[in-house]
Amino acid sequence: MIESIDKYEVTKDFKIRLVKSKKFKTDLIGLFLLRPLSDKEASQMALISRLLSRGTMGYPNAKSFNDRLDDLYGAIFISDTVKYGERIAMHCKIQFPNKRLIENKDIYKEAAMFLRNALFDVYHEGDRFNQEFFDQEKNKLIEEINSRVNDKITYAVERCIETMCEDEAFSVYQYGSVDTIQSLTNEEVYAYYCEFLTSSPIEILSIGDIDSDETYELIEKTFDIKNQNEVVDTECKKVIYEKRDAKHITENMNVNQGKLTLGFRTNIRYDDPLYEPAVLFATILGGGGNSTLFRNVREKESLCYYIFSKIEKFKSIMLIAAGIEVENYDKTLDLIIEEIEKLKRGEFNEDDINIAKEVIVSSVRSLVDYPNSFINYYYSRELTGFEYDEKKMIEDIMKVTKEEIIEAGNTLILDTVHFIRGDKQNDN
Amino acid sequence: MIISEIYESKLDEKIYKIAHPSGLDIFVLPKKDYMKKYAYFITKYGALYNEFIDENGENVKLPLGIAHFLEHKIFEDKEKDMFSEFARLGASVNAYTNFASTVYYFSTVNKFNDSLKLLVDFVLTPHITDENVEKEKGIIVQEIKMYDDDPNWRVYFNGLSAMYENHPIKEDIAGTEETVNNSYVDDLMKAYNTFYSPNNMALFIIGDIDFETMKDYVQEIIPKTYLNKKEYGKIVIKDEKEKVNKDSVEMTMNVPTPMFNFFIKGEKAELNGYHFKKSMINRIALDYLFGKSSEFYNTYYEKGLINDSFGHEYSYGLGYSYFNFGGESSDADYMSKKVVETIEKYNKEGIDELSFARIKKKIMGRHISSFNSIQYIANSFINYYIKGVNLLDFLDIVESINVDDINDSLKLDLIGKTTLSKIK
Repeated sequence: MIESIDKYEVTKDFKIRLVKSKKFKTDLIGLFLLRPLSDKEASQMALISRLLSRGTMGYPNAKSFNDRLDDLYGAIFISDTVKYGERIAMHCKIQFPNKRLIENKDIYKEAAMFLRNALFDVYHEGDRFNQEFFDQEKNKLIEEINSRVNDKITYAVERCIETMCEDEAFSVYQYGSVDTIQSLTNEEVYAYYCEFLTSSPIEILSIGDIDSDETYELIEKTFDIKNQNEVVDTECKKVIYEKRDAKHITENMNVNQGKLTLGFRTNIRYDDPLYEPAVLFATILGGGGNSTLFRNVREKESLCYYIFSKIEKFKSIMLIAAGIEVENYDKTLDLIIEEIEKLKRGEFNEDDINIAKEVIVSSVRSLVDYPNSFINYYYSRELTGFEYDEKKMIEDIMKVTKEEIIEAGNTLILDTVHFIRGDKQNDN
Repeated sequence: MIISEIYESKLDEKIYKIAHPSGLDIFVLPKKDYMKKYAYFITKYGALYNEFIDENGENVKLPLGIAHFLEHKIFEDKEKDMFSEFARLGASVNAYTNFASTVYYFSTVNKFNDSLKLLVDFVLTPHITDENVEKEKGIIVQEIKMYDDDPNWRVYFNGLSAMYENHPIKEDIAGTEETVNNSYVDDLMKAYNTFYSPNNMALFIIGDIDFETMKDYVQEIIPKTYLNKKEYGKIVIKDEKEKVNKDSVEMTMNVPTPMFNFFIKGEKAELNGYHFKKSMINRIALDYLFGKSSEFYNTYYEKGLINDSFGHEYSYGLGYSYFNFGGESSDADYMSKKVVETIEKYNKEGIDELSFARIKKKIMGRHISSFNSIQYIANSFINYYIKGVNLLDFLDIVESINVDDINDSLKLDLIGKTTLSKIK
């Protein structure tokens, strides 16, 4: 249960949101800094987000930095970057036990100060990062990007998006690219870091058993964010895609299982009245055990173990992914397309709609069970220009009609069919 | 029937237990103000238990992966599609199989009671036919292939396979394409009849639930015929030598950075409180030696020989235990040597009081924080339950550990006891 959400617009580009909920064992403070998405920014932000864990001026190496977290009752510090369509944000968070569970020791202030210093007072030497830290984190980040092929399910979906949106900023990977990271110099990234801190819209969200007025004062004073210069434009433009012949791409990799991914344009943005119907369409099609893809492609035809569809909220696209036997490519593809066509013709009933609504409403209602997911969702909701309002969000789902779902389905344009297959099957 | 409750003031959490005379354990952990409610139906039957002596004293050997295959087939019903039935109630249902248990569970915001009845009904009324067993084979083979493409999974199981000679932990949980294709209705029903009995099962319920009402309802929905079921199998675990079977194994998967898992074979453990406490002691020692604040981690991180993926664990179960260190590294052989040297050095020097206090504080703080997530509580509770320990005793056990316990740990004879698994 959320008791209250207090909103403070400290300046146009600095907001604080305080969420009071007593049921959690922890308090959580999260900082979100938003940027327009480009390969260069994503690469630099990813590198900075990793350098933050190497130390602050007060805790100048990883050992003392981590010891300090352990002393704060095993507090967890996380810094990472997340894509929101053609925007990207850095998240910096700290989570620690609430005072009532640690003999009334109030460590909120110390944790907030730690978070503040981790982001704003990173360990540096003059106008640069420590050269060794910089080189090490650069190499690790490159290693990490190269290693994303190890998670084949996620990689296959990302490759489909990258092919589909190759001429758009959205194709930029969340951590940028190996070539760009390779070319970055210490001085350049440090200069960017300074600019990044003073020219990005900042939002601080905190959730836990907190007193709003007191916490507001503490955060405002601790973070003391005033020197925002010219803040970058992070407005998201709406783009319309024309129908075109679908691209068919096949990649060869060392895999046992083929990975089939279909990318569709929907032209339905998160603020479009058809957005909720589109989410329902994707849920009926491939959102869990009751979906038509699961029932027909997996249960009836035994073609796969996993199959799902999802809407990419900030990019007006729908993706379908399945892991299949390479020789079943044509059969599976035909079957998926057939299931979509059936839904577009309205061949589904009220039961299917109600079940899909129930799935979505349950997930909306249970957002408040997870402090980290809650602030992430709250932030992304604000990026769409809407307020977080549970009642309205549920109403918006519940009022969708069958006709609207069919209408949303009929906007789908198949853009890209991406297939990863094993090298071994090359010779046929 | 005996009803008991445990309250842990350090967590401000309470759990109720109903010990039914049939042997079935029922647990309820109320979490006020949480929207989602979960129920887990657990059988202490997992991938390790392919071989057993049944109630007639006969030795039974089932195809590998049978516990997992059974997990898939329990979902079959004569008329209804189980996934849709749960979805209709607004619930989402799933299951998993690991070494020592199979667990069926659902989560829901509304209609918890109806969903709970459905869970109990479908687990207790299997509908397994030749036709639906055949149909499932293709799906499970795709599941196996999905894991075969995951190098993190492969490096781990390759290591276990090399380390053990006889213990069934050397086999993949789902078996192989061949054993799946050679599994039949009779095998599945034999496993089901033997191990899905109340004396081998438990029900765990968590969420914003009133115990008094739930207590009566649960007993109402569990069929009497099931409660009278007595079948049980005596698990056979073949004797395993103390040394490893093979000291190294390597596989090529064209990974961008080579991966390794370095195992140390441990004693033959049992599922009781003594071994649990021992595992906690080992965990603290490992955290001190190999955690993010350790000299080891920071030295080799800075040298570029390990990265964020580096991890360590101590794991145990019926008839086995092992330490494992692993991640991505360009020089796995060197890192394995350094692991051994670090343990040997520690055996001479031990841990200092300050570090010990800090790690204890961290483990306790993290444990408290983990009680935010009802899913995490449920999964940990079940893991501990299988090991004969109550999750709410965790903090007391950790508190009872002193610096001498830690200094006495890891006194390992490493000769012939290590296996290095590599993926390149």
